[in-house]
Amino acid sequence: MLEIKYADSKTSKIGFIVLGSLLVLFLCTNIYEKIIDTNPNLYILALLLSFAIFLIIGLKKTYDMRLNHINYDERHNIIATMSASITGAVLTYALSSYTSLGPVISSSLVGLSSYILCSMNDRMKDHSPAVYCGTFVGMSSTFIILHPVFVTLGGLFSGVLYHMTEDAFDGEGGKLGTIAFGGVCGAVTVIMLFASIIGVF
Amino acid sequence: MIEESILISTGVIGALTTYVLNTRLKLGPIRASTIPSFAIGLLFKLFIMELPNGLSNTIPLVFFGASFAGMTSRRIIDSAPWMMASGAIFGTLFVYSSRFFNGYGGGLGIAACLSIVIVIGIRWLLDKISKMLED
Repeated sequence: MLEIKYADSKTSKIGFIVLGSLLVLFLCTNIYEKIIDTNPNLYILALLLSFAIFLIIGLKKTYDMRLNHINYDERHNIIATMSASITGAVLTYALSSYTSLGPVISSSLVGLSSYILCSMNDRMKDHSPAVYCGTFVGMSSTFIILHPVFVTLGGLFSGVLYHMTEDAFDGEGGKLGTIAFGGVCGAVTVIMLFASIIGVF
Repeated sequence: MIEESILISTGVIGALTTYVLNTRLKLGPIRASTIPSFAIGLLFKLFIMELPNGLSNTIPLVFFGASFAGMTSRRIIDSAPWMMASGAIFGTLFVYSSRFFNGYGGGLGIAACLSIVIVIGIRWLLDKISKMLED
């Protein structure tokens, strides 16, 4: 049986809305793509639609489980989470894009190294998840992140989202990746705005 | 079809491996995800480079992504079969993924999170149906 912790804080609701919206956006985009396909596969579409129904139910149960951080000071410091996330993003992007290691080895290597290094220091030991989150931003392809500076931006947005969503989706796998995805979406939005300003589009 | 089956099976194995390392061997979620993913990545990078249809690159990616689902705490998913189901759902989402978000970092993780939330939804529905049948 799922353990339910009821929460009232606005921050936990905001965190849930941010992560839940990203999940819905991701699945709905996939479903929409399958619908407008020239030869839609109805079995795949039916499967994805059933996933959507279970997603809605699952989100309701996840909402019931969000933590109640009564004391805002219990959260990790936002500067620390941004720094950790940027570090993970930049290191992983550098290894993945400029060596032959590839994204999987780069991300897991940076994630494991950060865990080992952070556990050596009492003040740092809780920050390795934020670094690992940043590594997923760094896994982005070079055709998405057009310039390395945008990896830093993606890491920064992820760090902010990490801080905002600390009491939502607690214990659920993939949360860090969802946060990273949100950070990359933010960076891509800035890239597109920048490109439209300088007249590329 | 064979390729899809291989990838979905990889999803199951990736999720289950990390789940066992995390919850049974108590390595913690980060080590439980990074250690096997690093090992699989290295194995395919150094020794298994020539599989057809780019599977040498895709299998480590699917394993890595499924490992994020396996990072789920026991408080949320308390049984290995449900974690395997989550891995299969992740593999399915990967195989039939959207082209729009191709190359986005975090794409694997959000699919893993989707698989966990979907399993939560499935379990709630099955609990509800079994209670209705009991009454």
